[in-house]
Amino acid sequence: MKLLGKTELTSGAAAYVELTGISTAYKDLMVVFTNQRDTSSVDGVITTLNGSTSGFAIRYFDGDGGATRTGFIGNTFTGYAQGNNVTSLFASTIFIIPNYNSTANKSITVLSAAPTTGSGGYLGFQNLYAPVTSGITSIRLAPNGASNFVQYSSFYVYGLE
Amino acid sequence: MTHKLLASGTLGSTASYIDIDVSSYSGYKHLELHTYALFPSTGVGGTKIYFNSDTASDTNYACCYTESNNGSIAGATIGGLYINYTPNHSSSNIPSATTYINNFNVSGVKKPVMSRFGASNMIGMYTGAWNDTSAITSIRLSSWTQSFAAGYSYSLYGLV
Repeated sequence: MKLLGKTELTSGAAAYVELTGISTAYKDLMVVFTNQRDTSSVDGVITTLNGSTSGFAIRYFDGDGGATRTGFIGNTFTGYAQGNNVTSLFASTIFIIPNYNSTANKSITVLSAAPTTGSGGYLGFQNLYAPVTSGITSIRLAPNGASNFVQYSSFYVYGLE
Repeated sequence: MTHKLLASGTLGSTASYIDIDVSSYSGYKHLELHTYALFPSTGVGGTKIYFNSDTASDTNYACCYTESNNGSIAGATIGGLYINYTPNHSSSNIPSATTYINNFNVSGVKKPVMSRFGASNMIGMYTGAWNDTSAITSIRLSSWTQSFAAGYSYSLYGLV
Protein backbone atom coordinates (compact mmCIF):
# COMPACT_ATOMS: atom_id res chain seq x y z
CA MET A 1 0.00 0.00 0.00
CA LYS A 2 1.46 3.33 -1.02
CA LEU A 3 0.34 6.93 -0.84
CA LEU A 4 -0.07 8.07 -4.45
CA GLY A 5 -1.38 11.57 -3.88
CA LYS A 6 -2.96 13.92 -1.40
CA THR A 7 -4.57 17.31 -1.02
CA GLU A 8 -4.86 19.02 2.34
CA LEU A 9 -6.72 22.30 2.54
CA THR A 10 -4.49 24.24 4.90
CA SER A 11 -6.27 27.52 4.26
CA GLY A 12 -9.23 28.82 2.34
CA ALA A 13 -11.89 26.79 0.61
CA ALA A 14 -12.17 24.70 -2.53
CA ALA A 15 -15.14 23.89 -4.72
CA TYR A 16 -13.51 20.58 -5.53
CA VAL A 17 -10.37 18.54 -5.09
CA GLU A 18 -8.82 16.51 -7.86
CA LEU A 19 -6.45 13.61 -7.32
CA THR A 20 -4.60 13.19 -10.61
CA GLY A 21 -1.73 11.34 -12.18
CA ILE A 22 -2.72 8.09 -10.53
CA SER A 23 -0.19 5.39 -11.29
CA THR A 24 -1.28 2.21 -13.06
CA ALA A 25 1.17 0.12 -11.03
CA TYR A 26 -1.32 -1.14 -8.46
CA LYS A 27 -4.26 -3.52 -8.37
CA ASP A 28 -6.77 -1.48 -6.36
CA LEU A 29 -7.17 2.09 -5.16
CA MET A 30 -8.22 3.27 -1.72
CA VAL A 31 -9.34 6.83 -1.13
CA VAL A 32 -9.53 8.25 2.39
CA PHE A 33 -10.93 11.69 3.02
CA THR A 34 -12.28 13.91 5.76
CA ASN A 35 -14.32 16.93 4.90
CA GLN A 36 -16.64 19.69 5.88
CA ARG A 37 -18.46 22.07 3.54
CA ASP A 38 -19.37 25.72 4.00
CA THR A 39 -23.11 25.06 4.22
CA SER A 40 -24.99 24.12 7.35
CA SER A 41 -26.32 20.68 6.50
CA VAL A 42 -25.05 17.26 5.53
CA ASP A 43 -25.09 16.36 1.84
CA GLY A 44 -23.18 14.04 -0.47
CA VAL A 45 -19.76 14.21 -2.10
CA ILE A 46 -19.96 14.18 -5.89
CA THR A 47 -17.42 11.85 -7.43
CA THR A 48 -16.10 12.27 -10.95
CA LEU A 49 -13.83 9.63 -12.46
CA ASN A 50 -11.67 10.46 -15.49
CA GLY A 51 -13.89 13.50 -16.04
CA SER A 52 -17.11 11.51 -16.19
CA THR A 53 -20.22 11.10 -14.05
CA SER A 54 -22.35 9.66 -16.83
CA GLY A 55 -24.53 6.74 -15.82
CA PHE A 56 -23.31 6.64 -12.22
CA ALA A 57 -25.70 5.25 -9.61
CA ILE A 58 -25.51 4.23 -5.96
CA ARG A 59 -27.04 1.52 -3.83
CA TYR A 60 -27.04 2.69 -0.24
CA PHE A 61 -27.84 1.47 3.24
CA ASP A 62 -27.58 4.16 5.84
CA GLY A 63 -28.97 5.69 8.98
CA ASP A 64 -29.25 8.99 10.78
CA GLY A 65 -29.10 7.84 14.38
CA GLY A 66 -32.77 6.91 14.18
CA ALA A 67 -34.29 5.93 10.87
CA THR A 68 -32.49 3.48 8.60
CA ARG A 69 -32.86 3.65 4.83
CA THR A 70 -31.88 1.72 1.77
CA GLY A 71 -32.33 2.47 -1.89
CA PHE A 72 -30.88 2.87 -5.36
CA ILE A 73 -30.56 6.29 -6.91
CA GLY A 74 -28.89 7.79 -9.92
CA ASN A 75 -26.24 10.01 -8.44
CA THR A 76 -22.49 10.03 -8.03
CA PHE A 77 -22.01 10.28 -4.28
CA THR A 78 -19.23 8.63 -2.35
CA GLY A 79 -20.01 9.43 1.24
CA TYR A 80 -21.13 12.48 3.15
CA ALA A 81 -20.19 16.12 3.01
CA GLN A 82 -20.31 17.34 6.60
CA GLY A 83 -22.26 20.54 7.30
CA ASN A 84 -20.55 23.46 9.02
CA ASN A 85 -23.30 23.57 11.63
CA VAL A 86 -21.20 20.94 13.42
CA THR A 87 -18.25 23.05 14.51
CA SER A 88 -14.78 21.70 13.73
CA LEU A 89 -15.98 18.16 13.13
CA PHE A 90 -15.47 16.47 9.78
CA ALA A 91 -17.04 13.54 7.99
CA SER A 92 -14.91 10.43 7.36
CA THR A 93 -15.03 8.35 4.20
CA ILE A 94 -13.10 5.42 2.84
CA PHE A 95 -13.77 3.99 -0.57
CA ILE A 96 -12.06 1.32 -2.59
CA ILE A 97 -11.96 1.00 -6.36
CA PRO A 98 -11.04 -2.62 -7.04
CA ASN A 99 -9.51 -3.47 -10.39
CA TYR A 100 -9.18 0.23 -11.22
CA ASN A 101 -7.02 -0.35 -14.31
CA SER A 102 -9.70 -2.47 -15.93
CA THR A 103 -11.54 -1.46 -19.09
CA ALA A 104 -14.76 -2.80 -17.58
CA ASN A 105 -17.33 -0.80 -15.58
CA LYS A 106 -16.29 0.04 -12.02
CA SER A 107 -17.92 -1.04 -8.75
CA ILE A 108 -16.82 1.02 -5.77
CA THR A 109 -17.37 0.16 -2.10
CA VAL A 110 -17.88 3.08 0.26
CA LEU A 111 -17.96 3.43 4.04
CA SER A 112 -18.81 6.89 5.34
CA ALA A 113 -19.93 8.71 8.46
CA ALA A 114 -20.81 12.28 9.37
CA PRO A 115 -20.93 12.36 13.17
CA THR A 116 -22.15 15.11 15.44
CA THR A 117 -21.19 16.16 18.92
CA GLY A 118 -24.79 15.78 20.04
CA SER A 119 -27.75 13.77 18.88
CA GLY A 120 -27.84 11.95 15.55
CA GLY A 121 -25.32 11.77 12.77
CA TYR A 122 -25.18 9.99 9.43
CA LEU A 123 -23.48 6.70 8.67
CA GLY A 124 -23.72 4.03 6.07
CA PHE A 125 -22.46 1.79 3.32
CA GLN A 126 -22.76 2.51 -0.36
CA ASN A 127 -21.84 0.91 -3.62
CA LEU A 128 -21.18 3.25 -6.51
CA TYR A 129 -21.68 1.86 -9.99
CA ALA A 130 -19.54 3.82 -12.41
CA PRO A 131 -19.64 2.84 -16.10
CA VAL A 132 -16.15 4.15 -16.82
CA THR A 133 -14.47 1.78 -19.24
CA SER A 134 -10.93 3.02 -18.89
CA GLY A 135 -8.36 2.78 -16.16
CA ILE A 136 -8.90 5.37 -13.44
CA THR A 137 -6.29 8.13 -13.63
CA SER A 138 -8.13 10.99 -11.93
CA ILE A 139 -10.68 11.35 -9.15
CA ARG A 140 -12.50 14.61 -8.53
CA LEU A 141 -14.41 15.09 -5.28
CA ALA A 142 -16.80 17.99 -4.69
CA PRO A 143 -19.43 18.78 -2.08
CA ASN A 144 -22.93 18.75 -3.48
CA GLY A 145 -25.10 21.85 -3.58
CA ALA A 146 -22.87 24.65 -4.83
CA SER A 147 -20.75 24.59 -1.71
CA ASN A 148 -17.04 24.40 -0.92
CA PHE A 149 -14.78 22.18 1.13
CA VAL A 150 -13.38 24.15 4.07
CA GLN A 151 -9.98 24.32 5.75
CA TYR A 152 -8.68 21.06 7.27
CA SER A 153 -10.51 18.94 4.71
CA SER A 154 -8.00 16.38 3.46
CA PHE A 155 -7.96 13.80 0.69
CA TYR A 156 -5.62 10.85 0.12
CA VAL A 157 -5.38 8.18 -2.54
CA TYR A 158 -3.45 4.97 -1.95
CA GLY A 159 -2.40 2.21 -4.28
CA LEU A 160 -2.98 -1.33 -3.04
CA GLU A 161 -1.03 -4.33 -4.26
CA MET B 1 5.09 1.58 3.33
CA THR B 2 2.21 3.86 4.20
CA HIS B 3 0.09 1.36 6.15
CA LYS B 4 2.02 0.07 9.14
CA LEU B 5 1.26 -1.94 12.25
CA LEU B 6 2.01 0.43 15.12
CA ALA B 7 0.86 -1.57 18.12
CA SER B 8 -0.95 -4.75 19.01
CA GLY B 9 -1.77 -6.78 22.06
CA THR B 10 -3.74 -9.66 23.50
CA LEU B 11 -5.03 -9.81 27.03
CA GLY B 12 -3.59 -12.58 29.19
CA SER B 13 -6.27 -12.16 31.83
CA THR B 14 -9.52 -10.34 32.46
CA ALA B 15 -9.33 -6.55 32.36
CA SER B 16 -11.76 -3.66 32.37
CA TYR B 17 -9.78 -1.58 29.89
CA ILE B 18 -6.78 -1.47 27.56
CA ASP B 19 -4.63 1.64 27.15
CA ILE B 20 -2.69 2.31 23.95
CA ASP B 21 -0.07 5.07 23.83
CA VAL B 22 -0.09 6.75 20.41
CA SER B 23 1.99 9.79 21.32
CA SER B 24 4.95 8.70 19.21
CA TYR B 25 3.01 8.21 15.98
CA SER B 26 2.88 11.79 14.77
CA GLY B 27 4.21 10.71 11.38
CA TYR B 28 0.86 9.17 10.56
CA LYS B 29 -2.37 10.84 9.55
CA HIS B 30 -5.07 8.25 10.24
CA LEU B 31 -5.45 5.31 12.57
CA GLU B 32 -7.13 2.02 11.76
CA LEU B 33 -7.92 -0.15 14.78
CA HIS B 34 -8.91 -3.81 14.59
CA THR B 35 -10.52 -5.37 17.65
CA TYR B 36 -11.44 -8.97 18.45
CA ALA B 37 -13.68 -8.74 21.49
CA LEU B 38 -13.87 -11.61 23.95
CA PHE B 39 -15.89 -11.41 27.16
CA PRO B 40 -15.95 -13.72 30.20
CA SER B 41 -19.66 -14.51 30.09
CA THR B 42 -22.53 -14.86 27.71
CA GLY B 43 -24.78 -11.85 27.25
CA VAL B 44 -24.20 -8.26 26.31
CA GLY B 45 -20.65 -7.14 25.68
CA GLY B 46 -19.15 -4.12 24.02
CA THR B 47 -16.24 -1.74 23.74
CA LYS B 48 -16.22 2.01 24.25
CA ILE B 49 -13.34 4.24 23.20
CA TYR B 50 -11.85 7.21 25.06
CA PHE B 51 -8.98 9.54 24.28
CA ASN B 52 -6.13 11.14 26.20
CA SER B 53 -7.00 11.76 29.85
CA ASP B 54 -10.70 12.23 29.12
CA THR B 55 -11.68 8.81 30.43
CA ALA B 56 -13.78 9.55 33.50
CA SER B 57 -17.14 10.05 31.82
CA ASP B 58 -18.99 10.05 28.51
CA THR B 59 -19.72 13.78 28.70
CA ASN B 60 -17.44 14.78 25.83
CA TYR B 61 -18.38 11.91 23.52
CA ALA B 62 -21.26 11.43 21.11
CA CYS B 63 -22.36 8.37 19.19
CA CYS B 64 -25.08 6.93 17.02
CA TYR B 65 -25.48 3.60 15.29
CA THR B 66 -27.23 1.62 12.60
CA GLU B 67 -27.44 -2.13 13.11
CA SER B 68 -29.22 -5.24 11.94
CA ASN B 69 -29.98 -8.22 14.15
CA ASN B 70 -31.66 -11.31 12.68
CA GLY B 71 -33.71 -9.34 10.20
CA SER B 72 -34.58 -6.32 12.30
CA ILE B 73 -32.92 -2.99 11.60
CA ALA B 74 -32.49 -0.24 14.15
CA GLY B 75 -30.66 2.99 14.82
CA ALA B 76 -30.36 5.42 17.69
CA THR B 77 -28.23 8.00 19.43
CA ILE B 78 -26.51 6.71 22.55
CA GLY B 79 -24.26 8.05 25.27
CA GLY B 80 -20.58 7.21 25.07
CA LEU B 81 -18.59 6.34 21.97
CA TYR B 82 -18.80 2.68 21.02
CA ILE B 83 -16.80 0.68 18.49
CA ASN B 84 -18.13 -2.88 18.85
CA TYR B 85 -21.03 -4.68 20.48
CA THR B 86 -22.95 -7.89 20.74
CA PRO B 87 -26.22 -8.50 22.56
CA ASN B 88 -25.31 -12.11 23.25
CA HIS B 89 -21.65 -12.97 23.42
CA SER B 90 -20.58 -16.60 23.15
CA SER B 91 -17.73 -18.62 21.71
CA SER B 92 -19.55 -18.66 18.38
CA ASN B 93 -20.70 -15.06 18.55
CA ILE B 94 -17.60 -12.90 18.89
CA PRO B 95 -17.67 -9.24 17.91
CA SER B 96 -14.95 -7.81 15.77
CA ALA B 97 -14.60 -4.33 14.37
CA THR B 98 -12.56 -2.11 12.12
CA THR B 99 -12.44 1.43 13.43
CA TYR B 100 -11.08 4.54 11.71
CA ILE B 101 -9.89 7.68 13.47
CA ASN B 102 -8.99 10.23 10.86
CA ASN B 103 -6.74 13.24 11.48
CA PHE B 104 -6.00 11.83 14.90
CA ASN B 105 -3.01 14.05 15.60
CA VAL B 106 -4.32 17.23 13.96
CA SER B 107 -4.95 19.96 16.50
CA GLY B 108 -7.82 22.34 15.88
CA VAL B 109 -10.41 19.83 14.72
CA LYS B 110 -12.59 17.49 16.73
CA LYS B 111 -11.97 13.81 16.28
CA PRO B 112 -14.41 11.67 14.27
CA VAL B 113 -14.63 7.94 14.83
CA MET B 114 -16.18 5.53 12.32
CA SER B 115 -16.52 1.85 13.11
CA ARG B 116 -18.02 -1.10 11.31
CA PHE B 117 -18.61 -4.08 13.53
CA GLY B 118 -20.17 -7.49 13.40
CA ALA B 119 -20.71 -10.81 15.13
CA SER B 120 -22.72 -13.88 14.26
CA ASN B 121 -25.93 -12.28 15.42
CA MET B 122 -25.47 -8.63 14.51
CA ILE B 123 -23.79 -6.27 12.09
CA GLY B 124 -23.70 -2.53 12.16
CA MET B 125 -21.88 0.75 12.19
CA TYR B 126 -21.09 3.27 14.85
CA THR B 127 -20.05 6.82 14.30
CA GLY B 128 -19.35 9.52 16.79
CA ALA B 129 -16.87 12.05 17.98
CA TRP B 130 -14.67 13.19 20.77
CA ASN B 131 -15.71 16.78 21.38
CA ASP B 132 -12.17 18.05 21.76
CA THR B 133 -9.69 19.57 19.34
CA SER B 134 -6.53 18.22 20.97
CA ALA B 135 -4.27 15.80 19.16
CA ILE B 136 -4.89 12.24 20.33
CA THR B 137 -1.96 10.89 22.32
CA SER B 138 -3.60 7.88 23.97
CA ILE B 139 -6.53 5.56 23.38
CA ARG B 140 -8.45 3.64 26.00
CA LEU B 141 -10.59 0.67 25.02
CA SER B 142 -13.07 0.32 27.84
CA SER B 143 -15.33 -2.64 28.50
CA TRP B 144 -19.06 -2.12 28.66
CA THR B 145 -21.47 -4.22 30.73
CA GLN B 146 -18.87 -6.86 31.43
CA SER B 147 -15.07 -6.99 31.47
CA PHE B 148 -12.81 -8.04 28.63
CA ALA B 149 -11.70 -11.65 28.76
CA ALA B 150 -8.26 -13.15 28.22
CA GLY B 151 -7.75 -13.34 24.48
CA TYR B 152 -9.30 -9.94 23.70
CA SER B 153 -6.95 -8.54 21.11
CA TYR B 154 -6.33 -5.39 19.12
CA SER B 155 -4.12 -4.22 16.28
CA LEU B 156 -3.48 -0.57 15.52
CA TYR B 157 -2.32 0.54 12.07
CA GLY B 158 -1.14 3.93 10.94
CA LEU B 159 -1.74 5.47 7.54
CA VAL B 160 0.51 8.24 6.31
